[in-house]
Formats: sequence, structure tokens, C-alpha cells
Amino acid sequence: MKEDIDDKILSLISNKTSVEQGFRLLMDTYQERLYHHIRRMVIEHEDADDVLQNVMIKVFKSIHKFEQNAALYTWLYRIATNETISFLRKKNRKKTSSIHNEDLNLDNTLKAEIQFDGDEAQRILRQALNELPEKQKLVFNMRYFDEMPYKQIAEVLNTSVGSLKASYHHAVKKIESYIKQQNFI
Amino acid sequence: MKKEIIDELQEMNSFLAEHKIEDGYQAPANYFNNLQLDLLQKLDIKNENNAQEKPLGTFQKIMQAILRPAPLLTAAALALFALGIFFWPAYDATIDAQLSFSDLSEEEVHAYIEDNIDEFDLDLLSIADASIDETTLMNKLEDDQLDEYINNNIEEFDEQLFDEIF
Repeated sequence: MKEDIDDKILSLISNKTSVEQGFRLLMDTYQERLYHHIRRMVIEHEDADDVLQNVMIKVFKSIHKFEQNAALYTWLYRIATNETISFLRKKNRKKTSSIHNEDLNLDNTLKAEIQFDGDEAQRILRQALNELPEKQKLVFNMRYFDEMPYKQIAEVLNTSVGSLKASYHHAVKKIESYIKQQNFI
Repeated sequence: MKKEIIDELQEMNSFLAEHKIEDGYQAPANYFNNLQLDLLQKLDIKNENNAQEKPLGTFQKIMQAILRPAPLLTAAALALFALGIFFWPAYDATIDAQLSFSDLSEEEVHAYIEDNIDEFDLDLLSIADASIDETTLMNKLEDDQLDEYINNNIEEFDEQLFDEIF
């Protein structure tokens, strides 16, 4: 089913008389999933918006070079992931001089940005997730929230399935450990 | 959540199998619609048959009218150019012929003056700087012509000059 939509998107975009419909269909199909993938990593909406726009610009400019060795969805995720990592690294370089303040800001941001409906448990779980190293967080998000098969995650991150399973396992254990430290369980 | 993911968490004895983390991030209202419109505009994505030309400004219209190729004007310009090339060498040769008096041989000049001596006066001969044989000139002039010339111009000659001549 997903392949059918991908084929339709590519077919429409490759035709000059239907490129607009093709791009609209691509965005209708994938923009929300890509937005959430990015947002879980960068936290703030404005940052997610910047990154997603850059992703879409790159996708549009290079979609004619897309070779259908992988699914379109995987290719889009790869671009979004690379763009997100690049954004976070640039942001971290700027903020290395104020790490402590940045931690406080992130805590406040989480309180403001996430709609917990007063659920303290969810806020602590989210904090635990944000304590994870970059790669473990990516793997956890793609597996836990996006429910992607390991094989597809491996294609996005260009790594092995075994390594991904190990990363996911470590991520789950670290979240539990953080929750225990907070006396939540 | 997919069963395989819950099973996997249960295998790890993780409490996350029981306590789901909600994906609490939400985009602002209408964000995705606006994003799509913004990007289509920013990337200038249009179907080729829907593409419309931007309206031209006054200056652009004037420049376009001036620079627009006009077939008749172009043909006329080309015809003039071709005629120019065709006639230029001939015109140039005519001018050269008119101006190359010095190219004539001395015999040709003498022959021309002798044939047309009646039409010349002395001033013209001096301007032309043509050396002419005095006897030839005198032979050509009749006595009554000389008398008439002297009578008409006698006041301009002094006596000494008159003696020198005659």
C-alpha cells in the first residue's frame, strides 16, 4: 500500500504537468510523521519547523536523483535524520559555554512544550528520554513511537540490525534507571 | 502500539510495556496546511501548464517593445547593408579617379590644355601649375584677342612691365 503511494508520488513528480500534485501528495503523506520525528529530537516547534522546511527543500531538489533501491519513506527519514543531527550539532556548538543553563532551559521547555494534561509521569518519562545519547534516542524514537522494523531503521541510520537492537535495549534500560532515580517506580 | 514492540519490551522486563510514553508534542493549528503552501511558494512548484508569466513593469514593456525583433525592419536593414557592401568599392574608385589628378601623365595634361586653351585664363593655368610652352600659347592667341585683353587691362600694367613684355 505504502509502495503504491510512493510510486504515485514519484510518477506525478517526474511529470512536469503534475509536479505540484506530486509534491502535495508527498507532503500530505509524510510531513506529519517527519515533523514528529524531528520534533522529538529538537523539542521546540520553531526548530522542528526550520529543520522540516530544510528537509522538504532538499527532498524536492534531489528527488529526481532518488534511486528506488530503498523505499521513499526510508529515504525521507534518512534526510530528516541527517538534517536533525546536523542542526543539533550546530546548536550544541553554540551552547557549549552555557551547558548548565541549557539543561535548565530544556527542563522548562519540556514543561512548556509537551501537553501532559497534568500527567507528571509523562513529563518524567519524557525527561528520561531526553537524557539518552543522540543515537540511542533516535533508535528508541523510531522503534517505540514510529514502530519501524529494525531493517528499515538500519537503512535510515546505515547501521546493522544487531547494533540497533543493542542500542534500543540500552535506551530502554537507561529510561528505567532514570525513572527509578526520580522515585517514580 | 504494535504487539511485537510490546512483546519485545516484556522480554526486557521493562515497565514501558505497561506504561506507554505519550508522544506529547503537537504542532500549532493549521501548521501543516500553511507549511505546504509556504513550501510550494518558496520552491516555486507549479505544474507547467499552470505556470503564468509574471506581469511586466512599464520599463520592461518599453524595453521589450524596443528590442522585439521586427521582421520587416530587420529585412530592410539587411538589404541596406548588402547594398552598402556592393556599392562601396565602386564609389571609392570614383572618388579616387576624381582626386588622382597627379596620376595623369604630363603629356595627357598638355594635350588636354592645348585642346581646351580657349576655355582657360592665365589665373586658372597658374592655379593648375601646368607648365605650358609660351610659343604654343602665343600661337594659339589671335592678335585682336591680345589687343582686346591689353585695352581692357592696360590700367593695371605699369610702363616698365609693358616694356618687359613687348
